[in-house]
Amino acid sequence: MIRVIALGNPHRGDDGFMLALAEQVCADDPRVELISAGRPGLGLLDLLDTTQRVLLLDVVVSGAEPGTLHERELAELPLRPLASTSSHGQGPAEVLALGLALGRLLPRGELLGVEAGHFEFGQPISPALLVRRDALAERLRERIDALVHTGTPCTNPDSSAV
Amino acid sequence: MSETSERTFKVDLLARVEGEGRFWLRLDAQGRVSEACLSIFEAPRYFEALLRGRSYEEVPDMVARICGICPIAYQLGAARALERALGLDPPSAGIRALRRLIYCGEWIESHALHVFMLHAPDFLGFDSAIAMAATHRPLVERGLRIKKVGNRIMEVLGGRAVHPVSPRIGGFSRTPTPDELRALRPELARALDEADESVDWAATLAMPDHPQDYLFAALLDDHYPLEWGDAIVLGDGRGSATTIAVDDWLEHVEEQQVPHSNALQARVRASGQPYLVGPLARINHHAAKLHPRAQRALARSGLRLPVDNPHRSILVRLVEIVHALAEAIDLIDAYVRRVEPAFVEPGSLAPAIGIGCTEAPRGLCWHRYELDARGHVVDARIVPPTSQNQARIERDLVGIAPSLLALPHDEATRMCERIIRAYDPCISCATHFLRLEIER
Repeated sequence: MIRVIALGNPHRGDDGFMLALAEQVCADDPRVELISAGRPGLGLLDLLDTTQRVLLLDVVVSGAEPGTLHERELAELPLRPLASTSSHGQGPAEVLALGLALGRLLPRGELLGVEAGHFEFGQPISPALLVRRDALAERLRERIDALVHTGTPCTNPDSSAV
Repeated sequence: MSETSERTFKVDLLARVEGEGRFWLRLDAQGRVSEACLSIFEAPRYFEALLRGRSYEEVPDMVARICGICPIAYQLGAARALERALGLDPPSAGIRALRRLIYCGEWIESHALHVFMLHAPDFLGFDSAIAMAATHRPLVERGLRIKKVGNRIMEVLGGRAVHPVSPRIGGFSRTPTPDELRALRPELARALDEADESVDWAATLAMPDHPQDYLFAALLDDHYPLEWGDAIVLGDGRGSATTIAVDDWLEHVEEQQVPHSNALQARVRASGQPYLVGPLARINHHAAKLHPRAQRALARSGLRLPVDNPHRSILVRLVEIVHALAEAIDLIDAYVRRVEPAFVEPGSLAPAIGIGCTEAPRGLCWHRYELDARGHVVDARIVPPTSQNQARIERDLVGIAPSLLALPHDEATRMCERIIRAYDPCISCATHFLRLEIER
């Protein structure tokens, strides 16, 4: 069994996309422990405290075209300090940095991040993401299969910063 | 006074506070304060307008979204106000106990986040919690454990820690079983020991000496104020105090819109004086009502009442964490039979106004709702604690100005920032408007 942690806020436009995708793909998969975590802030550290392999799902902002898929090993994620953020700014990059500073071990796993288009409150998900939903769902299934069966690292790392 | 050059201390984006704000403090050539401003530029969120036309049933879920750190303060304040507007009987003792328990959870997680992740770096000479974690790992891990326990209480009672789903008008949509609460007890007991250790640790910290002349405002209840109160005590913590009914609070204090901030500022109407809400106000008015375990922690802390130095708020928050953990254990031990969920429907609807006030982690959180004959919100007024503290924060900056003159500029600027951080401001909660005028 693997753990899929889906992050996002369903009320803020594209920020809810990966939550919905995770539910679509993982809800009935007995191989997956799905955690729809919302925006857990520091709570993400506890969710990553597992011996299971982890797929972390989130939207990202890197300047790429909305709908672009980014794939990274968790251990290769660029990290950000907590220096200037309140808890409102404690995203995965910041929390992972704190975890490493505390000497915590990251689980083996990957981030699948989809480039967001907008975060407007109460607005629907961007067409650019919706049109790619089926392809992204298929890629998510592929990564679940890979992690469940072999623990194979992702073979399509995106070179863009996440 | 010898002349110096004009000096401006400013930070354009405050670090380690909840939300987005800046400050500036300007001193003229004689070292006198010409301007002291806490500018909250985080956009207003118009919750009071969003609530208009909504059914009373929707209000707890909507106001929970005001804050992810202190949603219970908004949900329970709204519930109390609407229960009064609807003419409902006060919640049962069992529901009140569960409300108090979930509020303990919120105090624990909010205070722990501020103490260990936002405030402690100031005392240990670090810019960030990450930098601090590298050399103070046990301290940070302890803070995370304590915070997690607070979150666990909120998850068990509320369904989830961020924007809990179970608080309702009249009670909860689901109540926990005694076994579910008892399962929390071991980790609560461990966290209580660690909170006590943390008080002893914080008592050793060097603290700047910046006593201020405060007017403290805190809810009045038979117990240490938290989820319930029909009156507010306003006083200097030295014996001079006035008791004001919660319903009359805005007759005694006034919110004002200022040009430099998206958050209103509050002052006492009669004197124009700013006032302080939050942990210092609570402990100065109600220390005798602390749980005995917290009383012992207070005695060990070295704090002398009234606490009038904002830097000592880290100790006060830790004492309140001890209180909340100890009280949570007592409430769980007393919960031997499951309280029935209460989702109360009013017998009939009529135009009405209701007011409710609770003690958010950061202080008084006051709600007023006007309902129409269908139970829909006609008008909503929410006065958050950080909004009430804004004017007091600016007064503190004025108060420390003379001590800044001898400091190097960067150090003086950091001291201003430390003063603001000592208040644990929740800027995102504070952004509410009286009026918005649009010129076309």
